Amino acid sequence: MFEIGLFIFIETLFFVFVYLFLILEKIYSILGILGGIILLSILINKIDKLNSFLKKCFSEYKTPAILYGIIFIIALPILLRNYPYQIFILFNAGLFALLALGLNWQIGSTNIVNFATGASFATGAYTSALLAINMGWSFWILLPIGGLAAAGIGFILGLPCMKTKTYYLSLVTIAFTLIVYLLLNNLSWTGGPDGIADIPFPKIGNHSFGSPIRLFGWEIPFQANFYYLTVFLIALTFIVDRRLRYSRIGLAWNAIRNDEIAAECQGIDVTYSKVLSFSLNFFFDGIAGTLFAFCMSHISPESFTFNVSVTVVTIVIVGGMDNAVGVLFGALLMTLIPEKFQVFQNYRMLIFGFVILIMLRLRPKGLFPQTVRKYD
Amino acid sequence: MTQFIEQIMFALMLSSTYALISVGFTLFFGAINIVHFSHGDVAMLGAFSGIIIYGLFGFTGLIGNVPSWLVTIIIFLATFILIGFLGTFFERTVIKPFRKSPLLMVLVTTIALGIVIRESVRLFYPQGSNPQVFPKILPQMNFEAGNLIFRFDHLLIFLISILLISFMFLFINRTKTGLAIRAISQDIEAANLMGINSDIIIAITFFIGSILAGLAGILIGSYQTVVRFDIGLMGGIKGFSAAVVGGLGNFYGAIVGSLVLGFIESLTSAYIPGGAPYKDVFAFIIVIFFLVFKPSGILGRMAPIKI
Amino acid sequence: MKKFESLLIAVLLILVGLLFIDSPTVFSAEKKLVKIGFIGPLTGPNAAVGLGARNGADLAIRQANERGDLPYKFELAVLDDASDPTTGVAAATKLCTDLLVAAATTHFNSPVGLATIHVFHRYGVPQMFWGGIHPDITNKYNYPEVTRICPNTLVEHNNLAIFVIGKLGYKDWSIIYDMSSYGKNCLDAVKPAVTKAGARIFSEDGIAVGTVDFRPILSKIKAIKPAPQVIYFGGVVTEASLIKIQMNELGMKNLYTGVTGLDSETFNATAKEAAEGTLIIGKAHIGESSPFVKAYKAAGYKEYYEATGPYAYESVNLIIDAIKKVGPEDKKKLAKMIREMEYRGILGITQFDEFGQTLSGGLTVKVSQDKKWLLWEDSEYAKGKRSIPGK
Repeated sequence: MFEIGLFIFIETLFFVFVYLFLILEKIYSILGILGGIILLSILINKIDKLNSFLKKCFSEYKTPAILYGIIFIIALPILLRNYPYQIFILFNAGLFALLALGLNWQIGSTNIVNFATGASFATGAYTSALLAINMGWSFWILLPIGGLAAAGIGFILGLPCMKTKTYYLSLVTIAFTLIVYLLLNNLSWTGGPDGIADIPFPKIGNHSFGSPIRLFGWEIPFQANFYYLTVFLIALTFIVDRRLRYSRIGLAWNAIRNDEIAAECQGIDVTYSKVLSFSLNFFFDGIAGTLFAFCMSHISPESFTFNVSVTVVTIVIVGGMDNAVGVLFGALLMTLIPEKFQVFQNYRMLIFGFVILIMLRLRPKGLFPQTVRKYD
Repeated sequence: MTQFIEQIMFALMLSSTYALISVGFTLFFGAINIVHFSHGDVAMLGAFSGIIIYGLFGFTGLIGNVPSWLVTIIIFLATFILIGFLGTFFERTVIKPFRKSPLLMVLVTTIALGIVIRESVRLFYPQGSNPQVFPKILPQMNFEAGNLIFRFDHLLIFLISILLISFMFLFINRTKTGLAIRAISQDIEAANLMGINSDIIIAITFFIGSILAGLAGILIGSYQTVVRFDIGLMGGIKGFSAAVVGGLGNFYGAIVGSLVLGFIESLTSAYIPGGAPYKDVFAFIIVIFFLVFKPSGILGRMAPIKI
Repeated sequence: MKKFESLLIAVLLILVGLLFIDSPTVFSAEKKLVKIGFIGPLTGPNAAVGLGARNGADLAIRQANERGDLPYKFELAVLDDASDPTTGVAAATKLCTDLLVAAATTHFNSPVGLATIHVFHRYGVPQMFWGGIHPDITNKYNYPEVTRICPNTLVEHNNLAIFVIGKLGYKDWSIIYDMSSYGKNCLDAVKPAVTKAGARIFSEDGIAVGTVDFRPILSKIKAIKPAPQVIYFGGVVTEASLIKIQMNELGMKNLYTGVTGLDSETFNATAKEAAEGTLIIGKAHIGESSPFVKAYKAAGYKEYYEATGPYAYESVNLIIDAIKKVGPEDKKKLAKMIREMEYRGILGITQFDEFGQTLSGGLTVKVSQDKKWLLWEDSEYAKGKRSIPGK
């Protein structure tokens, strides 16, 4: 009884931290909270008793912990109903989480460092935007279509690359991203540097995503609509991740990661698995892209540069490869921190770079390192 | 006809600027299996250090008194030493701690390092966000042959680049330290067992690579006459591309790759109507093309770096 | 590792301790705090411009507070958009939902502006653009909140055509433009403007932002016979100065021209002697002896004010003037007041048309002489003492 109480207390403390981090504005407060979080993680690392206690709690009380977490996530926009900006950046963090979770399958599971996320993100966004403006299709149809379009591109990219390895493959993806960005910028039917404007807000029945949610007398800002949809999609991605991991495909991916030749000898169709990882990754990127386009209602090539790819790759590596929870945390960290660092104005990127270096120094294997499969 | 010769000259110069960077990438990868994402930014630091040292001369009033060729040599030497040590410093602090970690970690740390280097220059160098003029430290004479104007300083830049790359090549292949580097690239544990202190050799490798980058910065600065805090980013990507296309880990490959990239960029912007904005697209499409048909690069990986 | 960790823990403990320090509150008891938002690129490739504008806006706020003639204490709420639309929208959302923010002055990059105008419109907060020249910002939606205090490209290029073609008689043009939103806008404005005035366009070349080697393109232009008299560049300073330097390297004697994107002392500082004889349509002439420059220098900002600094400065002053008339609380009234203002300041008279675009923007013709931008009228070129290239 005492154990579970303590555990809930720690989890609540964590939620309070998160809430405060989002709300507080002054430099001291932000640095203080950040310092507190890093301090806590070092302590957890060092103090073995705490470490094993937490590990034990997680495995024993997994379901209530996760349930509590879900309640917090759903309640968050209500707690933040006076802070639309915070909801927006959480939505943005969620988008990056989607991108990173997809990429995780490639980097984490099959060791393909894919720098083409900028391109797949763009494909989803532009496809759905163009179809919405020119054909008037609804958002809900376009969501999977954006994903499929991107997956198609992934397939096209993946196929000829099957003979290339590791760094060479990475370069192909880098080149691809740059090419897509340049084409989007230069071609006229993509709107050129001005992009595409006036993308309509999605609707559920009568409720437009552009209007606030009215619930029990609370008025929750409209950004929450997108937030909830993103959370739902992330949950879906988690489920897909779980199913994949324990399926033949997941096993095949990990086998390829460990030793490609051995995997092939075992009868695993390496080409098929790799192309599948490309397509799946891109599918989710495309969905994220569609979400992005419909929230911003105006997209331009500037949002789809190589930097996006670099950010997502960094998230996956920092968060811990092949570990969905780690990647999620990585996404939150890497998107929320630069925003909160706005208070440092033009020093924020410098400080952010240092923060990444320090974080990696502390956890050289990633926040939540690659897990070895449990065989039982 | 003269136009064509002029274009070829420009293409060669562009290729040589890429070659200086790509050789560094190939060295790091060949020797220690590391992709040093911020190598281009180290080159940028070289260019900036050239500007700063030149400025020091002016500041201390020595500029009139010291013959200009001496100034040039001092700038080269000082950058040589400065960037060499700076590069090794980066390696000790940022790359070494990750030697036991998955290789991809190093990728991210060098990305973050690149951010820190670029932002530091932007913030702490006066007017850092603006383009900076690189001083004219090479003799500014011209030759004319028919309609063509040959610039002596461009010729010098080209020759010095070739010299630098050749020196490095000779160092790797003909000296004892070079032998040690090659040994490590083959099998680091065996090399250790043979009595090679791999830690020091790695440091030396970084020292050399960084020197090359620093001097590359000066040469690129002299050629382009203007440098900015973010030239390292794209330059690094192009240099990396050149190295990969030619075959990562292969010296000759880096040069071949640079030629491919430089020529395609230059010639497409000149000769394809409306092609200039797409020059990078062409270059990268060709990169992909080469990699699809020659998955290990044009000349493939040589392990070790051969004689 | 041990030492590093202990050091880190010490630093972190200090940081956590800071959490409990009471940060001094910003406003005094008597005066009401009014925030004016500023969004611009403080990081990224356009940082120089963004910082200059921020300083200009900051100067205006400082002066307003020093004057102290209003019952408000002003504060500049500065946010970075990093030239990225998503960051810009986040920043806009933050400002618009902060009740203390009365109005905002924003943006250098048009794509960012095109995304944020919807945010400012949704929350009804007045937004004045000190940069970002895309016509759609004002003309497409005509949001009552949006105004723009800098001139848009159509006016700029018409002026350019009138001067170079009409007055100097140069009818043969080669065009180079950069592939950003700004560059594209320049291309779309310069072509009709000069063809209408009777010019022939010999070549059109787009370049990717960040290109440093223009020699292939310039060499190609050099080979055009008959030689174009004018080489026009639509883009910003870094590329513009490189082009001029390399033009000189290749011995090209065409007239080099552009619009306000080149109007920055950085152009002269970078191209140095090569800049001589460049002719542009410039922004309002703020002389070295003007009170703005004196105050800017006295305030000790690290960065140049660039071309946009005075515009940001003026925009804040205009906003404050409007607040003086109708107060900061009713944003709708404030937006309407701003639209209707006729303000006299360092840019001359500023008035907005029915779309919120300034009518004048203080455009001038400038020429680079001895590494400085001079008004055409004041230069030795106008007096005939130096001859303009391209003859």
